Amino acid sequence: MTQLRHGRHPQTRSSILPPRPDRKTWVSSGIAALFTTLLPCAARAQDQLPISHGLSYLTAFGPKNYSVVTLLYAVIIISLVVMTIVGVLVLFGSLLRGARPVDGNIASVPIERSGSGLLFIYIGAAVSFVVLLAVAVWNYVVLAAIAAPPANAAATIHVTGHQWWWEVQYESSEPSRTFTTANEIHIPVGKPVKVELSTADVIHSFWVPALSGKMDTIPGQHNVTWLQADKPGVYRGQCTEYCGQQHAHMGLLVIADPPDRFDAWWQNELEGPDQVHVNVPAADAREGQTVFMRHCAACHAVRGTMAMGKVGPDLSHLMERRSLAAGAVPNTVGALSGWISDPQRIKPGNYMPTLTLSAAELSKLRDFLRTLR
Amino acid sequence: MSAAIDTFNRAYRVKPLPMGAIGTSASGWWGACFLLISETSLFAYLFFSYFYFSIQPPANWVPGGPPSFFYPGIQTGIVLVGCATVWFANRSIQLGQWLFALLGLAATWLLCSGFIAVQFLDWFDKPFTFALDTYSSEYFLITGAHLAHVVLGWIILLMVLIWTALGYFDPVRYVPVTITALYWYFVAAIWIGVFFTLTCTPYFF
Amino acid sequence: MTTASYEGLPERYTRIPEIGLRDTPSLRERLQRMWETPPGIRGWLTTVDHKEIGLRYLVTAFVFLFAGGIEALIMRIQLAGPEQRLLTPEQYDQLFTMHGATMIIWYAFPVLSGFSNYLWPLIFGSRDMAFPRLNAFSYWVFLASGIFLYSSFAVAAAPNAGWFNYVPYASKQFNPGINIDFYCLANIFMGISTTAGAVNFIVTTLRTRCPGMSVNRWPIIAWGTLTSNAAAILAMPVVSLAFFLLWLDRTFGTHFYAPASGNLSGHPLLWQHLFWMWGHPWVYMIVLPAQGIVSDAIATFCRRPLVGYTAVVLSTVATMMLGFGVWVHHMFATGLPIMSLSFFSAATIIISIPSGVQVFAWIATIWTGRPVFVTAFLYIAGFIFLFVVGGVSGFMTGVVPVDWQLTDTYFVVAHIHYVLIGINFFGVMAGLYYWFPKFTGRMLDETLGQINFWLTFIGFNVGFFTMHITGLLGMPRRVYTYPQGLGFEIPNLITTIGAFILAAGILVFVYNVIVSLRRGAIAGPNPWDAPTLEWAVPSPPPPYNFAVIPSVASRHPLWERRLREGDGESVLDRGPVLDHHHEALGVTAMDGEPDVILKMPSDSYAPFLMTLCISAFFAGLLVHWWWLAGAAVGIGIIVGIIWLWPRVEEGGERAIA
Repeated sequence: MTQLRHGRHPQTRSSILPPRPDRKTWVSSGIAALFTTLLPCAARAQDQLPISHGLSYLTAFGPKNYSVVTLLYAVIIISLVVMTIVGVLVLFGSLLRGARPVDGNIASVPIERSGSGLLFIYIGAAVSFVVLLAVAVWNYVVLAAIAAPPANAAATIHVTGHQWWWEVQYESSEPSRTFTTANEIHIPVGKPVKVELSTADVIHSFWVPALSGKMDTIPGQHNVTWLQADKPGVYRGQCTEYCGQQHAHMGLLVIADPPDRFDAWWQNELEGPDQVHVNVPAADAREGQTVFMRHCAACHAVRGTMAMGKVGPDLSHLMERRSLAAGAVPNTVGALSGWISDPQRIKPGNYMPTLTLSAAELSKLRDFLRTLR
Repeated sequence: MSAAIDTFNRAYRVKPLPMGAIGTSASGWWGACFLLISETSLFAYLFFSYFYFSIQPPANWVPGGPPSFFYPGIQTGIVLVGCATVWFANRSIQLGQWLFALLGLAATWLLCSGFIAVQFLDWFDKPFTFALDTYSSEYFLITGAHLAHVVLGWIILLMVLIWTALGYFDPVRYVPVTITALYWYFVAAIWIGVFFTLTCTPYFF
Repeated sequence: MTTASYEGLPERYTRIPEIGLRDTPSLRERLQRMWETPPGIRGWLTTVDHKEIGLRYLVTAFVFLFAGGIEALIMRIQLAGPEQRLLTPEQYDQLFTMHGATMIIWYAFPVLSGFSNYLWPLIFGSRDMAFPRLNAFSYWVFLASGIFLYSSFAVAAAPNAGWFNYVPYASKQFNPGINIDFYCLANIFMGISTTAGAVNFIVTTLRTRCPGMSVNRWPIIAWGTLTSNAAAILAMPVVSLAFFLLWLDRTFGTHFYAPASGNLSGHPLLWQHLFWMWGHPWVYMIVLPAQGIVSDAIATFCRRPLVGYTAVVLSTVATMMLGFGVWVHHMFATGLPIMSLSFFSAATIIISIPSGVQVFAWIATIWTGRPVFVTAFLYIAGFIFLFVVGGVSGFMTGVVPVDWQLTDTYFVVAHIHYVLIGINFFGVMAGLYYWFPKFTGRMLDETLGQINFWLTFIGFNVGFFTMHITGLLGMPRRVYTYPQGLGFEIPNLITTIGAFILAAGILVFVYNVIVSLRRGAIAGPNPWDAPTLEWAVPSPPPPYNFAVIPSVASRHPLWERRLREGDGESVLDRGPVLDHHHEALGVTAMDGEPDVILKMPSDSYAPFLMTLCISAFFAGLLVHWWWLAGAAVGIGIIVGIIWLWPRVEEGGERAIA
């Protein structure tokens, strides 16, 4: 998850502890430990990500997921127990009862109806029934608890799936306080956020594993889900309904900030970008803006300029984001240049055209983009 | 050994077995039954797709209000009369009344042709086309699927009519006539379903 | 249903069947001449011998298995490491779509039809299927539809929207190429084969058996196949309809799935309903006959009758019925009302019980029997274990809140492979090791068999058990690559290694078949000392199967003396000779009482010609050459009329229907 390690939020990084189970039932922490020790890969994934949470859902970070993860561990344990019992029964049954035919002639083993054996079926079916019934009831309890979004949502976010990026619109009762961004969702820590889902084209599925299960975005239908993170952090999300060539690169990030920083972020987003950068000469940025208006503005919007395109992601505060192209590459100067000069190399098949720009134009365009903070 | 002879004798108590395709012992009759069950489920799914849309808002699902009973009413009459004539044909061949069987089949075939004609009249009367909206697509799909079965019935009736005229059937071996009758009952039953779904239900919802 | 009464039929329509002895050489010679398919291309195109057709089904299904397997291996190379660029996303999408479609539709069901086709008349003590020409037809259509589907690779436009083919991604707007048209039409095309085959199996099961073969004496594979084919005639129409509507949307701009102007709009979720109303029953349809193979073979290899025959039969039927009520568990994340999710969740959880009953019956059979460790038994034991792994992961995805996490991750990929490889492929392999001697007259090599089993079992588990973990780590399905650092690298590499070990195991099987066909030990009629009727005839069986029609008195005709079971004794060496041309015995559906002497058709070009017409029809629809489609329909009707034209038997009788 290179793009996240190169993230541009040092303060966030220092303030976040390594991921830990928030509600430590002995079951979940025990199994998590088991998985971590047994699976070197899992351990590595966690070691490398001190601040960000990958796509694993074995640990919950919000109330929408606590009970689900416990239930998940319960059904994993039930499944492992059932597998073990059956495996042992088949293996030991075969070994203990195994016959040695004379000269390999199977007919030398006599045919016998020794015992009806029906007791296996009766006991097996009875035990399965009780276990399944218990799980079904547990299932309903959890489902009833998490399905509906809480009434007191701190914010309502409208997320629209596009091939292959996420449009994110922050709603407010005051029209002046709404704004649009892309591929990154900021939420206040400890407060539920309602997420309304729709799509601009095909079916996608919105998924932030550490915080919430999946919900599809379906044309002509408005689905609703909700998120709440109890710890500050960066939570990775991903489209999980196959939606075409770049389905693999349709990631998103949910960033849980303390409420005051969240409010500050919202305020900043409402305003246009500063359009200044210490390392960028103002003249270059201005020329870059001209290039942008000529080549990019039909698809992309930058608040405070004439660029109001709706086809591609809103770029008003591009430099505040941690990654480019919906999580495909980290948001570094080099990656930015690479992305603009040849988007088809990074995300083959995506809808951003390859521009025919001179090296100078490219560099100025990049300089302009670097001022979008 | 006596037990063995018992089993064997029970199976073949000295009893003559009919040979070939006779009545419901014909494999063809059984095959036709199961094929028609499959076709019936096809229409069940077609109706499902229709109701899937019709129960969703907005309520005024049929453009221009509920459809007229005129043509569908005639078609309902045709399929019901056809049931009678095809039953008559089957009964007549059983009784050895070859000419009546021929007449019954010919009458059913004419009714079948009439049904097809009326269906086309109804289609030409509609102010919408196949690809206009979801209702028009569903309407032409369901009536078209039914009509395709009627056209197949038209071919079957024609062939069985020819085979009867050629004297291929007698009072024992006539199962193609029975299967044809069965097919017509199926087409009629499905038509009643189509009629109810497309013509009647828009008056309720 | 008791014996129908045909008292009063004129004498020329009835006959008391002549009783003869099985071992009469002149009778065998006469029957051989009567039933033999002539050699050469003519015989090859016209044969209606169920054994020939059964083997063709098996071989063709295995060819599709190899095609799907090669597609899988290419994908596994791509996924062996992060951010690999062996395949473009478009190539990967075509491969995973074709892999799924091939394995699920063109391998898993046809391979079981192959077993059933070969074995049906043999296990039922009959001469042929109820509809021999329809049987040939369903094979040709299966082959032609597969060729039709694979010809899409030739124009570099293989289907690319996943085997589940969700709209609107599969609609014209987002997928303008010919790819999806191939897929729509190929599925409708294949549906013809499946439906025709299903009707044939059902009528064969109900009608053409030997006397005494009442419903409580059928081998379990008969129940599995009957159940799955009964489901097929109810479920195939919906998938054909779903694909037909999509094809209409794509070709004529109708609005079943696609939005329309105004307030009357198509709905993409309709696709998911229609597709899964077929799709989930289909999953049971492609495993129940394989479970039947295991239930029958386990009795032979544990040297005792299956424990709980009745319970296993009832649970087979119950599984299928419940299988029609669980389709929405594929749609838990589509935003359906919670009430509806709860209902389908309960059905999904409950369906574990009948499946469990079968597992416990198998375990009981092992514990109360004396298992013999031949390769077929190893595959059976492996099957039971994999069945349970696939079963419990299915149960996990039935729990809605858990499914919201698991769905569309590699966990589900692991689940579906445990179901399809575990419960289908391992059952098929058990069946092949069991019946190969019957098919060919030679035994498969046991040493190679053990290598084959352990490679496939270990390779499969290494590769696919790991996928559960990949899924729990959050790797989404259907991605052509994945980023570094999320913990996906090692499990994916392990899966790739496992997949190649599995493939090596299958290659060993192919080698075993080639070697054993030439040099395998001669099998004799009953190498496993097995209980059922197919083992009462020579290996391979003669074209007429049984020289005299046997009559059975128990579930295990070849074991009944040793088990002291049954209602009297089965008679295998004496019975009706039915040697007036192609004849078979029809019995009553439930009790298996002799009912009728059926006149069976001979070899015919009609099935092959009809398939050519249908192929031309679909080709016409694909490229919008409406004249070709129209001409194909016209010629097809003529072929159909010739096919069904009452033909003159020797003696001047007209055989009808």
